[in-house]
Amino acid sequence: VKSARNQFILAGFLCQGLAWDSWVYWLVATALWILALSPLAKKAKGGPNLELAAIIGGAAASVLAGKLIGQSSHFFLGDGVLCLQLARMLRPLSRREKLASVLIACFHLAVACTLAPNISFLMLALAALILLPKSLVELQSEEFNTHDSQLDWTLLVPLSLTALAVFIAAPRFSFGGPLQLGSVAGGELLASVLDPAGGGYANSPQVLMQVQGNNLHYFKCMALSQFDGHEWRVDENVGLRSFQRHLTEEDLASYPARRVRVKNVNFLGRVLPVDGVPVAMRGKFFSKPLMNSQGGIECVSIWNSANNYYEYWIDPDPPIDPLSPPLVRYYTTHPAPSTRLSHWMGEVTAGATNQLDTARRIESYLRRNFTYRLGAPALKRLDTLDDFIFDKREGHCERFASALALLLRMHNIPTRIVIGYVAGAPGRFSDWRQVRFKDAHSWIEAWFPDRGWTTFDATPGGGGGDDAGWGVTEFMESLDLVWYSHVISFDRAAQRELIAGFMAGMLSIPRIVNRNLALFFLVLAVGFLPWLYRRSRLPIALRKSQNTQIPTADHFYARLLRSLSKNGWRRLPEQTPDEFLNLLRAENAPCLAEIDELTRVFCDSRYGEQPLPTGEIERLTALLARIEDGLDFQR
Amino acid sequence: MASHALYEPPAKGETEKARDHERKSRFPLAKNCRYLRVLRLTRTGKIFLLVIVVMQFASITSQSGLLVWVVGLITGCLIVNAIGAFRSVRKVRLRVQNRMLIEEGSAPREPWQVVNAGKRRARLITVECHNRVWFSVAEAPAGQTVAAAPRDVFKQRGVYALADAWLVSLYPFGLIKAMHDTECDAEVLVFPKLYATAVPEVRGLDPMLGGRHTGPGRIAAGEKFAGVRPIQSGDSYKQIHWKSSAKGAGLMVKSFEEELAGRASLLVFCEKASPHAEACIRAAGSIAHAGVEGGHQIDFQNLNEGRRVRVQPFGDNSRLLEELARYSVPSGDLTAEAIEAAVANVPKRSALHFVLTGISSTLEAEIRKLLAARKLVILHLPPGTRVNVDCPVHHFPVS
Repeated sequence: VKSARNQFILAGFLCQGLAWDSWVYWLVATALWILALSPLAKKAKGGPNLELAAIIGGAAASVLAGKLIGQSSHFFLGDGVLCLQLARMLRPLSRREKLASVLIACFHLAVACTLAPNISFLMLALAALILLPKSLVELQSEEFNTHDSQLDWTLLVPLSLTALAVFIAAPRFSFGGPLQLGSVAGGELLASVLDPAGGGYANSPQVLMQVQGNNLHYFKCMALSQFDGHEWRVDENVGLRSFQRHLTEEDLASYPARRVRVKNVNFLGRVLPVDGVPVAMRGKFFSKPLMNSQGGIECVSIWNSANNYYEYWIDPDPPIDPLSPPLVRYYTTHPAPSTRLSHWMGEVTAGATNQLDTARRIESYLRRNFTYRLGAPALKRLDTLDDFIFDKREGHCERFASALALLLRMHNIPTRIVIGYVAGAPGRFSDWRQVRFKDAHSWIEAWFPDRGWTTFDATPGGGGGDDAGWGVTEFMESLDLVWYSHVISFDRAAQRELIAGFMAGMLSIPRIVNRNLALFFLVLAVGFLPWLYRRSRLPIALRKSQNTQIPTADHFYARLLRSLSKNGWRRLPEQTPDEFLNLLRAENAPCLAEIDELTRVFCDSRYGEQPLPTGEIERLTALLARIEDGLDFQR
Repeated sequence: MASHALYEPPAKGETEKARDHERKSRFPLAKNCRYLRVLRLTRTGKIFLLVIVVMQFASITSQSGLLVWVVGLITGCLIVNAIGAFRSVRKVRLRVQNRMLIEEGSAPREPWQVVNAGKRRARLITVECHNRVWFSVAEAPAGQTVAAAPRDVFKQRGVYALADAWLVSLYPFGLIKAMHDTECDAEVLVFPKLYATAVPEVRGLDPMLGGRHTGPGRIAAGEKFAGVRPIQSGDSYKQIHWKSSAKGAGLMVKSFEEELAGRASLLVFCEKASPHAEACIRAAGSIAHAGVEGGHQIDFQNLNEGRRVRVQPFGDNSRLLEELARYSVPSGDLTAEAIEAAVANVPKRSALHFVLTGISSTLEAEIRKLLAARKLVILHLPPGTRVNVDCPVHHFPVS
């Protein structure tokens, strides 16, 4: 357990556990690790067959477990090699095998870096910072038959600084361009996110994008406007039009700005999430952004770049688009309501003065009297809306959006379901907000002649965007945001910005010094004081270091001779240590075994010119103490 | 008795020149640097460098930039290793006995010393040659000398020159090694493991101090007492045997048995392609050693390289052992001229022992000529070799 290599292997296991995002995995992996290192496990016969079985069995078990709990089994290979690591802990390994185990742990760490880089990973990263070099030192010390695998600060500090410097300054390469488009079909865009039964990314804390701006709320991706009586669909005949206005930088300054950093555009398809009605948009990972008739922004092509960054400006007071009668008919298509439902709607909307009020009343009713729940039982195929309103009364956001849209349509209010994301609260340490997969949401837009398209959200507790509190969870969330925005998302743009800032700072030093010359010399003088103090004490320090050198065998033997001479046994100059020892034997001196041992060590060390190992010094000190006690007792 | 060696070592500076040339061709910028210091990746280091490349490549497509941190961590290990190893080995010197003669499979008995003249501890120090570690010391404290026995790695006959080796430090991670010249010209000469064999047949017994054979003649000084005889003019008074002279028969002097030693010449030739070359050299060494121990003068002729060593009876055969260690087998056939030149160099009254890996028609023709000249020719060959000349043939063990 003390072996740094084994500890690094455990860190690898925990990293693999991060990929599964499950504490149960951590517990099981740690328990297996302890079991493999226990004396009980040494009785098991390890070997190539067991290891082959372990790697295959581990991978197969991973796939099965993934299917069983509805989680992705992409990490089955990592689990396979984890089992291999465990199997190899059952037998002594060659140097090559030990090195392989360190490399496997490195790859476990790399997988965690890629897949689950949340704040809890930080602890494992710190462990790896110590354990990886320590494992290598341990491997080397085994090669030299020493057990000195200490990793002192003189190694650790430069190592940490180098790792940090490389992280900051290493060039970020990227492959990108329109040809590398990884597109997702529009209809399938958020299906796996919104539907909990679909597995995938539902409730995943993985970050999709980060946004910055004031009064951020709903980020629209797409709208479902076509209802066939059972299902909502995307209108396939959406017209695309240009939305960008020719505005100067000064003009743009008067519009609210939003900045968005997308982590992986493959999850967006060709859609760029926006809140509100944009008037201008800039970015380098897409081409020709156009607005569709549903108010969403679609691009001709989109690709992953090193920095999927875009910014846009929204119109705070957008013009109202009129709806033609055919479109009003299209947006109000709905099945005939049942008598019970009509009666219920009459009760809910009683006293409403206009259509907007009607809509607000229904929205409010659903928000207050229904329950938000992921994975709620499926609704009846027939009379779905009745089943939801009167029986189930619970579900995820899509159900609420669908119900509200239909209920409003029944009041001849044109509606469409919108699917997108809700921005989280801004962090305490950063004005950026995280948008994770779990923030995927569904709401509706209703059209009123005097207001245009207006947002309604019937999901209880939906909408998010609350201010971050100061609880532990909020604090961790804020830290997480800093971690994501400054560490995980440290890309080429951030790197360039940091280096430019650093260079600007360096270049401004002469100017600052020139302005505050007196202060500069004062700081310089204060800075020199410790150096002068150290310099003045250096000879003393040197003397001290000479005095505190590791004692040699001569030292112990001289102390032995002094103790013996006090008791009347004096070694003559011409006597060799062995002759003196024989004399002591003949005279039956006390503690002969200890004296014999000390003499032997002295001869080995003195004539072999070998320094004494640290452990030996402690042993010799104990031996000498025993001899001195024995001699005192005899005296 | 000191051996009278006619050993002709290779021209001094020949190997050194070759080494210098190799170094300069490898490191053209360091032409004038005598004690060249180099940093090189170990095999483990190469693996980790590959890991860096893989992770940097993976970071291109990763959502997270943290992979670059792992790359940085491993890069840090490499950089710290390079600096640590360089500083560790910088002031270290190796102190070794100039010439160590050892038998195949054994380690030098004299310890090697690592002198650390620096102010820092030197750690994980090894002496390496062609990626084989000859010697290792875990730590040499600042300003101290550490002695340790070299490893038991000299398994094969040959010359292991420390000038070819490097002083290396792997401190602390073993990913990069810093190395510099050992700055010593010592050599480990590994001679073949000799076996006990019969004393070779000899010719030309001559009086020779230390010779094991006794002749009919008597001499005034020797080891084996033969008797007494009346004093003659010219005898030294020191030879007088006073005890017998006191018996009244006049002064008697001591006489000793004549000491004779024979001569045997070993003409050794190994074919490069032969699998029995090493066995042939070992057999030649064993026969020569038996001859010297048997009290004969041995002429050892290396027909492959044209060198000759002569060892007198009971002489110091270290030159012979050194020649056995240095014996190399270049390609080329044994010509009639080479045989004639070798035979012309051996004493006229000497038994000729040909120790060979095989026999050719040229050699058979030359042997026939020697037999016709009434020379005693004995052939030592690997088992199963057919011979078409009428002379004694011994088969040496090849296993």
